[in-house]
Amino acid sequence: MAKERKKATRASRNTGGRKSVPVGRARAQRVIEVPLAAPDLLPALDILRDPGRSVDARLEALQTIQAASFALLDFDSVRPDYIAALRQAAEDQDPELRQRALGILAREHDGFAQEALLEGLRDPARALVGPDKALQLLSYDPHAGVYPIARDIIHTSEDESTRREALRVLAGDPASAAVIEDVLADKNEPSAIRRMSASALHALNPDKLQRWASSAVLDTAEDADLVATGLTALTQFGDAKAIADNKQLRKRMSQLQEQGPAKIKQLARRFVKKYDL
Amino acid sequence: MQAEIQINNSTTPAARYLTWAPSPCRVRITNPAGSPAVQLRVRLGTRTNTGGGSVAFAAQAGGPYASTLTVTVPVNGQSVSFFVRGVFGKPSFVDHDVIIEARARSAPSSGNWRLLGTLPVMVRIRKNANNLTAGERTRLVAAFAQLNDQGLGRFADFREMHVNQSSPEAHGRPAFLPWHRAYLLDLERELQAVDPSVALPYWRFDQPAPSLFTPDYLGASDALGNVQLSATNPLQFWRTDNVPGIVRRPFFDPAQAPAGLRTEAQTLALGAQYTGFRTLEGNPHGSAHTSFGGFISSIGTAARDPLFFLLHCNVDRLWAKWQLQNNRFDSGVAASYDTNNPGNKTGHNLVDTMWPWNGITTGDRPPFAPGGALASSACVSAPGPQPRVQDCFDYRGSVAAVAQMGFDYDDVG
Amino acid sequence: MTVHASDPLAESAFVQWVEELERRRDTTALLELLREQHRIYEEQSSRRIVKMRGWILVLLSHGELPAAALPFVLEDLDTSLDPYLVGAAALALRAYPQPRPEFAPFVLRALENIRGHDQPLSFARYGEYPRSVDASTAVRELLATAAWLGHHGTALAPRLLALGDAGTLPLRLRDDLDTALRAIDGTSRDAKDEACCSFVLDLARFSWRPSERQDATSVESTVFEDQSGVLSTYHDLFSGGPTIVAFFYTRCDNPLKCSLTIWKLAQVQRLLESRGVAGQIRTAAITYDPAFDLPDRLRTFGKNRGLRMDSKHSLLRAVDGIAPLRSYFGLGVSFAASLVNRHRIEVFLLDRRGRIAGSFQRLHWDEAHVVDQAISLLSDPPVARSPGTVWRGLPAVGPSAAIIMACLPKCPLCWSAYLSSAGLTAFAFNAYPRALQLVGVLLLIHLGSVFWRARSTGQWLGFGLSLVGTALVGATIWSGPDAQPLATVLVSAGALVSALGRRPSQWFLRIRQVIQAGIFRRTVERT
Repeated sequence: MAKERKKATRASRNTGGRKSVPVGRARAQRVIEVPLAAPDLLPALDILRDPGRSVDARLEALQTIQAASFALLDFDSVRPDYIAALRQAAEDQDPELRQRALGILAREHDGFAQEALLEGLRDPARALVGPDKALQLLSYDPHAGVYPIARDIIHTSEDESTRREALRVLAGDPASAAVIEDVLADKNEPSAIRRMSASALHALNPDKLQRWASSAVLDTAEDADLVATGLTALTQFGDAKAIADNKQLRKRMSQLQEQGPAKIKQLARRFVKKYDL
Repeated sequence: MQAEIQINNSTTPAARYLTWAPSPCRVRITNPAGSPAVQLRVRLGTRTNTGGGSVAFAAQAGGPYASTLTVTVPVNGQSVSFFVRGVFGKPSFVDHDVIIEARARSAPSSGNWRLLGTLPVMVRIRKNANNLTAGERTRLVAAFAQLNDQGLGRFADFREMHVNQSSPEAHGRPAFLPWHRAYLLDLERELQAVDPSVALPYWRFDQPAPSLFTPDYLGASDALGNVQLSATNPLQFWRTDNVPGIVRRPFFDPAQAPAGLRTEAQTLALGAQYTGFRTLEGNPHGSAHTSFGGFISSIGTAARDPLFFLLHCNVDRLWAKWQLQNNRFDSGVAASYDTNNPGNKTGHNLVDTMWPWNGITTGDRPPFAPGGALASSACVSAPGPQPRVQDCFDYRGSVAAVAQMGFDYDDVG
Repeated sequence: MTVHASDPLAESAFVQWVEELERRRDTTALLELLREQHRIYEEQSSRRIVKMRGWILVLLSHGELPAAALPFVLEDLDTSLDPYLVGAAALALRAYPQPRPEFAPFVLRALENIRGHDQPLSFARYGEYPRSVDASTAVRELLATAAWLGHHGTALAPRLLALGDAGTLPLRLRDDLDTALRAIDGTSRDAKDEACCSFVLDLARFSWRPSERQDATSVESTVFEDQSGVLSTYHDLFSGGPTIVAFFYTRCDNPLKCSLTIWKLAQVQRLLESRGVAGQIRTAAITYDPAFDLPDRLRTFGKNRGLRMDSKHSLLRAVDGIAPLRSYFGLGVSFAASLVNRHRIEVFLLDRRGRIAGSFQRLHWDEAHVVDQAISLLSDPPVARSPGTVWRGLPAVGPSAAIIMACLPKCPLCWSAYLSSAGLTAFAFNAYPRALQLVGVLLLIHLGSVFWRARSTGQWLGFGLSLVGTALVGATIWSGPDAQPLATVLVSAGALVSALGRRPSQWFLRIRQVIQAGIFRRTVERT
């Protein structure tokens, strides 16, 4: 198994989801029938398990079985077989098949998938999907044990997508609140990273996020996207009394209604209307 | 002289919402000062914003309906009943864009109709999500965001109603459609408690919906499947299961429709019997779910994505259309339901109450029942706080007016 | 093997260790490793813990399963949603010397729980994830256990028949199902069960004699924050009447544990109300995850489960961490950093003094039973007046005596300072040193008062300060007045600290509350 995994990853290392969104893949225009009884899924399972079949056929089989999982009363009769087939597919040569299989398994909190994803984060040579995808899939289960790795990644990775996913995962880790706050405050960080930090901080310390939002709105040198995020946070989740008492903020809102980008003006007006200022 | 108009026989503002089905109304004179007689001929009509909703009036629920209605109202304060309904094809776009007016002649022979009273109403209809106006979209996502309230809001209950453990209550069995109808209605009423102008739109998954998957609306997915939202979109603080964001990776070009799904016509052609029609649960329903990777593609995580509710709204619309096409509003008609299925689990027989609204956590029900009773409405009384399967059929009150559930679809007339 | 808290145990080391224990047939040591709070689980992911615990159960199944293992095995059948643990538990149960009818409901529950979760399993080697359709599954193991139960598993027959009829069983398990049904119908009923009616699986623990209950002093000053942001100590919350306390956390990934616990606590509240004792018996749920479960989160979690929340019924987080509670309650919980990675169901009954009088662990507890036991605590004898309260007046005397003593001149110069304005210097010189005797008496009264107070509160700092100060005063009589100011300060300080006495945390609390009210404005009620 380890040899097979090395082969799979050498073939398509770190291509995870990035190059494999099947927009360009030819998709069937015919209706894909979903069987009405679980035993009728066995042929699809065979196709999924067969590396000799085309990837499109195997992907279609996968989608058929997954669609059936929503509908069939007797799906439990094939579930163990399906999980077994997914674990196989998770180590397939084809990155799209691997990613889809891992995605389904990760949503089921499957231990095999979690361990494979964690192993890939620790040792990129054994990665079945890119680190950003791995983090995203591990985020389905806060008990997957990904927090320590995610914390490292914030400090060591230079890839924006990976760091963003690490921040998303860490939205459930109180020990990371300080790091998240630092990232949010750092104007050298990309806007998308900072916005994810805002969202993560909101989960861990809503009061701090509100304080940041006020300061972002008052900061005339702040990035417009971050000002917009701050305005949204204040409008949706702000403390009415605190806002009413904040003369500086109220004055700034009057200014923002009249100046700046259209989206900021719109948000400022929404804010003023919400708090009846 | 002044008059009071009541919609849905209520003075509360929350009751001033109409569908295509008749709503019972009342008018009475509250201040007869200056009245020339003991009875007044009161003309009911509307004043509408251009492009807004349109309503029609009738003395009886069965009609005939017209744009105005004249009724005789005593000045002693006694109410006179009438009915009003939205004109099919002319829903409202904003709250209160239809103003109902009550007028009376200032003198028997006068040509001057004096205004006695007005009441703003809305013809609130479930529409194609791709065709909502910018204002409708903004209000929808804001309502969703507030219901979610960064993971701490009432939305958590709806997320927890649709998990693997509760799946037998809602999937793979006959009550799939009635259960989800009640589920959507419950959520919609909670959204309306946030913003009463909001109606749940449907994602017409057999057609392209390019405006739906945009950063200002339900988000545009990046290559990783993360839904990207604009900085002004309140859904950017969406959180479920303590993790921010939405994961949704389309396996199709969002400018097109997903491949492999049954079209509407093909779905409606599944048969005139419910046993045949409900196979839509596999395709197009299951296939629509699995046209993506991410939350929406597994039962246990699907409800984490707001798109899930729009997907199911379309499934419900298909059922509604099928019901209209085949006259299947009466649950007592065998073809309307899979009544005689001997394998029907509790919760799937017509007379069974449905989990979680019935609060039952014993027997073969899940050991938890999130959300409590189904949300009530100021407009209608159906389907009740603990709906039975059979209470979810006659949503327009076609069989019994009291069974109306307070929603309609823009293309199901 | 020694496990240090900071080093998560490597899997290979764990496997080696437990397999060695199995070779030596040291089931006692293996069982010890099933305690959730064992250090082997610290800093491990929940997934790894599932593998570890499952493997221990598998190893136990190689020999005869001791009765002491039953709580762990039945717990996994009762509440686990993980197929590996359920399968391993079913396997382990079959190693018990004799099947019993009491096991049937657990197998039934496991069959229900595992619906929609089954997976291929292997017990041949640690940590295997089969990719083969020939592997075992949790349902297969449960069917085998049903067959092992034989006629003791009669209660399972309807469910097994339904399983067969519903078509939800894989075809290749049909034989297993038939085997189980045949075993249930066909096993001879002639054999008498030895001690058939004496088997009781009782995981409730009670200390009905108050004198046997562990004192709660170690946790009395633990500070909690409730779902509304109100701060209180353990003593504030849990003294004066019985309390039903459950432990939970909002991120629990098993809805049959924490979420269900809070649902059930809401039911307990309704039962207390219906029995007219809701004002006398409190309920509380304490989170294992105080860093994450902030008040808003607690409130939403409780509200969504129909929990009543007010001054007598609350959801709580320990603001300075859960360590003291973990120790006092012997909590069955383990962590990876602050995140719970494994815990058991645990509900406690506290008496009027906040001491543990009873506990219900591991298996689902019955709400009515818990309420009955809590009501019985109402007839506990009232809280005895502690020795300190007999001397209720003394706390006031202590500080007063100290202040008087501190102000009293103790040397000619002091006397001069006090009386010089009245020109009574001569009197001053005359009065001194006879006033020393008065000083001595007052000091002794003061010391006595402070001593009694220290004994009743357990706070000895005040007494220590006063004792040192008194000793210094004595020394100054012979050595001179240089140390007088220090002695005065020490005695006064000792008196004041003693007067603060029992709950210094309350002063801290008040200060914190004032600061928090001034700086932070919370929106407590969002809906």
